[in-house]
Amino acid sequence: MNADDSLSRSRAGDGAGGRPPRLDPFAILDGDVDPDAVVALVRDPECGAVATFLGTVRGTSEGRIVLRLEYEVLEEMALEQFAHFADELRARFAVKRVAIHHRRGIVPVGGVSVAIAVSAPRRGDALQACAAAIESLKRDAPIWKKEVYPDGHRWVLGS
Amino acid sequence: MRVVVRLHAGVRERAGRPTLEVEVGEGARVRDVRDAVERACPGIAGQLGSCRWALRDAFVAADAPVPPGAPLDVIPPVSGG
Repeated sequence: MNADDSLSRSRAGDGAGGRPPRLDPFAILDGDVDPDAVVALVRDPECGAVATFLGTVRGTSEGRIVLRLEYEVLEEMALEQFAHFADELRARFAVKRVAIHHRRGIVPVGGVSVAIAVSAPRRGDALQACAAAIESLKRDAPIWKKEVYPDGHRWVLGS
Repeated sequence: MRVVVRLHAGVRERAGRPTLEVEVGEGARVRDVRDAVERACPGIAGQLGSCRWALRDAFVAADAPVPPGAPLDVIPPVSGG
């Protein structure tokens, strides 16, 4: 397993469509992240693009076999930070909506740890803002991952 | 005044406890709380240098004043995503 934490794409010309958002734009989840639900949160008739990022759990780390990750989250602060990230993105890019869902607890190899979706009238803003969002999250969201190996575990310091 | 300090992730694990309380003077700054935590829990003193601090769900600087009654969070290097 060598899945990296990078999967991004833009969907140009998607139009409005879809059901109305039913979830908060920012969430810490104990269950599975639903990427389609995160995308649905940002769909907007004024937007021609939705860019997404999925973080997925890699099965190896620095040559060691990883059995699973365990995420710890300081939830209220993390949600405040997500909203702050969205404000910063709006100051830098012409984006419409931002949604971030991040896991807490055990995530198996191959599982989705985070989904970010950003909508914008133009794809360039959507793609750049989505990339900026995951960098902000990795730098300033109070979330910690523990890598669990066959013979122990390690809290990852920075990422 | 007594300040509740909440520990997370590897720092909590190293300390073996999720919170601790320290005594600091009125008008104390975050750095004074940090110094008190180092004295109260020497086992995590080596980790605190790489940690940030948070108050009421926002990062705070070392020279920020600590209001009475508000817990402080020790934020080890983060690794979300």
